Amino acid sequence: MSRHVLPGFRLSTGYTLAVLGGCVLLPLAALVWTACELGPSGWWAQIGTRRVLASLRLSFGAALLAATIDVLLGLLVAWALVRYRFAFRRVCDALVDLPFALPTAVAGISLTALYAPNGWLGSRLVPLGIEVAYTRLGVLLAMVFVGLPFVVRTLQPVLESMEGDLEEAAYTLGASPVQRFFRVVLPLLLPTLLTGYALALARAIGEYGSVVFISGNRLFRTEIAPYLIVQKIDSQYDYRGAAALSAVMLTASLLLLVTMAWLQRWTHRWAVQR
Amino acid sequence: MGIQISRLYRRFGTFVALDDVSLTIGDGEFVAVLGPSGSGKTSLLRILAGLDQPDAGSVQRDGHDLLALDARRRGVGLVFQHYALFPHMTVAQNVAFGLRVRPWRLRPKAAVIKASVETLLRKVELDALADRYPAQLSGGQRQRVALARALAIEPRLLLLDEPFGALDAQVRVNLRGWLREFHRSLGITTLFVTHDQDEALEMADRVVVMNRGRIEQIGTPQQIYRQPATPFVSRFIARGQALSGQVQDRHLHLLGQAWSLDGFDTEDAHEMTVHVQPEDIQLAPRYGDGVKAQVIGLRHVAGTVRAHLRVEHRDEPLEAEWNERDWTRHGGAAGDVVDVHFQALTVFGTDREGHVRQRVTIHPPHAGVSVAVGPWRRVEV
Repeated sequence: MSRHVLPGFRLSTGYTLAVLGGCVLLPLAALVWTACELGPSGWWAQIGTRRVLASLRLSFGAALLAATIDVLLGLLVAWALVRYRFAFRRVCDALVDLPFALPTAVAGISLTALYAPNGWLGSRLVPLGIEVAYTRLGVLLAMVFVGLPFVVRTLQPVLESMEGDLEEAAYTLGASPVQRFFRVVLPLLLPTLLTGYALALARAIGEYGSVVFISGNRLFRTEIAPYLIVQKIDSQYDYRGAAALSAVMLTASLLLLVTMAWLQRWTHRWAVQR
Repeated sequence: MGIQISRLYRRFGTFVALDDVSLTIGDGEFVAVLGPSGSGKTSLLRILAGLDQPDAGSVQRDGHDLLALDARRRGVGLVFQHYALFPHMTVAQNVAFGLRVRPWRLRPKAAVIKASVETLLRKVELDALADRYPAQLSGGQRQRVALARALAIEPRLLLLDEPFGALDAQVRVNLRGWLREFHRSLGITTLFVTHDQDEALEMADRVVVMNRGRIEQIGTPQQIYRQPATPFVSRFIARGQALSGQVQDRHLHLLGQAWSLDGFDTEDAHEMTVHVQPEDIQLAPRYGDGVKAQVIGLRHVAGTVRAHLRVEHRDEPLEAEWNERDWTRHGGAAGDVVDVHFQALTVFGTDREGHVRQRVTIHPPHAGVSVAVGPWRRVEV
């Protein structure tokens, strides 16, 4: 075995696997096991209902859209924070982390209070025909809110380390600002943007606390899948049903994340080592 | 015609990067801008490339204002110090970049671009690596990709920023000769910036020495080395070492010796500096003839001997450079006291602002030459 600067490869790997196994794999295995007890027909009876399918559609649809919006917004925010010097830049930089730090319920309640028809912003938006609270738009908004820091924080170090040289080189070779962005900057940021997208997506799919307040949990309309899972356990003591729905979410999330990881690697293929 | 740079000024806050810089570059010339870091050489390059604008001054090419042109229409190719290759593009895509981003009407057809990229890659001897990514290339290969990329836009002026700065010593020396040949075959006016004296003197037709934003001297490598215009150039390029001496009655008094010094006006000189180059300190052929010096250190470097000598009235040791054979024939070891001759001494007279007003190089007579003045004895050979 080759020598490493730090000893303890076996010990550290052992610990890592043990912790991973105990914290992640074991509960997930138990979940899949419980779901399997239902059998295929029982499973479909749990999943195939209109209510469940609607919630899944909302959870994944809104999460995909929210992550996309996060990437666009996050790029702008990170760009502004890294490239420009302006008043209160550091304060803004610290504010980005707020959705991380805030208890999600607090975020949800604040958003609801703000956008409710009698709220500060809601009272102005509702007359314009824009209803945010208790609609799918509200779900989307909450998901965007919690996902944004992931994109900004993954992009920032990459933007900071990106050499200004490259843009200058493109400039001296005759590229217009638009060409410099789309041919040089964006392709270089793409792998990082995809990482940020995957993180924001994962967070949005699993988000519960901040969404359930603003969504209002209206049947067939604004119920998200995590809410249904909690409902099944809370009010119906239906552990198997909850497990079945969870297993579906788990599988779908896993597939999405694997796809993202593969895409991310593909867009980063130029960073090959000799 | 070429390029006329006149009276450029550029300052960043309180730091003066360019201070009244004027320079004319002939068509097809290969010019080196040499100076220590912070001397303003990169600022000059960036202004020529269109990445920066001067606070004052003008740059004209064939009588047209170059600074008014957007970098996109300037026809200037720039090779960055760290190459700045686009890491997400292959070698061929990197080289094609300048052609592909041209406005639609000026853009060559895809087949034409492909052909010219191939030609360029063959010129820089990288045609076999066209599909590699920059991360898969060695330093020297990356440098040549950067060169091909800059040449793809068919520039009328090629700028190189520390072209060999990031390379191994061996690759560097090989590439120097290659680039010199390459320039000869293309004939593009080329300006390169470096802090390496050897590089500048070996490669350039003309060398521009800069210090603190000012041009100290412009000349051929030989002129710069043999006739440094200022104490800075002498020190920086020719390893000139200051000796404390005085001028009295048209004689230079130095280390207990005196030599006649014509054409030096003491009235006009606020301050006076005497410089000697290491290779001009030679062993005297006879004992007791010359200046006494104690050898305090010897280093043998590739056929030459670098000796550190302690002489009277000077705290720092003087460095001398001798042919290894001469030293062996002379015989001796560290600690010995030897006699040395100064074969050339340059006397600079500067005014109150530190500008050089007078410069006289004298060749003190010594063994084999009739001695005119001073304690030198007439020696017949």
